[in-house]
Amino acid sequence: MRAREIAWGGLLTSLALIIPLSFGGILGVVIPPFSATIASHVPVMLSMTISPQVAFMVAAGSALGFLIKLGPVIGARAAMHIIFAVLGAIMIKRGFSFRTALLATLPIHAFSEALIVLLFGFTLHKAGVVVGVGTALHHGADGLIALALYSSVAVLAQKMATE
Amino acid sequence: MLKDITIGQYIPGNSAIHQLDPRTKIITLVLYMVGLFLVNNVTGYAVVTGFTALVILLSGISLKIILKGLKPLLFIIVLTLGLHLFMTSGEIIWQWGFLKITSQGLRQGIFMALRLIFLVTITSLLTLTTTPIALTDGIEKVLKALFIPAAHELAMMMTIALRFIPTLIEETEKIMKAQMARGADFDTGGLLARAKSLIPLLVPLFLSSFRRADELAMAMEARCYRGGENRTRLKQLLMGTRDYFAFGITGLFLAITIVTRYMV
Repeated sequence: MRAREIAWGGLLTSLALIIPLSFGGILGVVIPPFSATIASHVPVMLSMTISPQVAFMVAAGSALGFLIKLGPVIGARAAMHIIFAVLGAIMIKRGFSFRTALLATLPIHAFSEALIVLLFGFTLHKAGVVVGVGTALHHGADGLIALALYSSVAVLAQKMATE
Repeated sequence: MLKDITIGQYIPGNSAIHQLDPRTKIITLVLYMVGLFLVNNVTGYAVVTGFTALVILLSGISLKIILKGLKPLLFIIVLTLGLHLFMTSGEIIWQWGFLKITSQGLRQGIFMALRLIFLVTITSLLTLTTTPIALTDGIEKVLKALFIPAAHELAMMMTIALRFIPTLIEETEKIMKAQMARGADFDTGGLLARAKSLIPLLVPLFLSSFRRADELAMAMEARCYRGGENRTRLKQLLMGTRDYFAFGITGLFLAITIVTRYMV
């Protein structure tokens, strides 16, 4: 793997950890037992545009980071991002647009996060639904932000692709 | 406000737990989790409680810090307890209207709540007693031992991520203040307005991060970085007597949990 991809992945992982920690007070939404920070998925989503390997790394790295910083429940939910990040990256690699990849991975993301929290004592169907629906809305909001950012950084991404 | 963020949760110390090799801590943590999910009776939970208390004492971390780490999970713990209390069938020991508490529900609720508490406590203890870099080192070694591909790349990415967290936080703060000086308002308005106001913060933050990543990649390659193969390490991880002793104690703990489950 090239040093550039590792460096990009490292910086995106850093951002994936910083956004919830820094902006939790401004953009935090807590509807117990669900919690989320708007824009926290953006770095993982942007990593999808680089390569499936980097998408895996950023999602896995942020999951490890959350496990280290915030404990196993949030770490497990973050680990589910690996699934939608890698699938989305593969779609983009096969020629689909970023927007299409974001839309297609929305249900996968919501479903996987709803499933994982059942292991941590969320035995009620309602808890799974709350987390699932909340994640879907969260994915949608972050997808819009990621698209806006992507168009802004498209020049840089283009430059990287041609090197 | 950004300065209040604790970067990692590492608390410097010289305790027996601090001095263990990070690989030892990772592996014993996994063994502990296996034991925790095996126990299903009072005797087993007593063993787990005793072992957990022993580790906390050895680490020298104050109970206040550990309880602070449990606070975010308070709602989930109460929810778990409540669900088991009121929804498990069995011998009723208390009733009021449609609400009823069964002895089985009480027992199961307490067991599940304890499981959650211990899981979070021990995981927190790992990060409280190990530096993030040492932890990343340990994770890389463990992943390699499991023949996971790209273990080095994952570890390198984690190292870069952890190193740049304070730098990017500082950058975020600078951009935030610069935009506020130009009239940006991040605190007022509804959620949508706040998300919208974040664009002038996120765009320059991401752009500067990408530029920084490009510069970092160039610097790494200029210093002959070619990936994980044939690399040496500045600080070697070495296991010592205390590590083997820790493995022994944890193995004993796991054996006892198995005995309490199947033979008591």
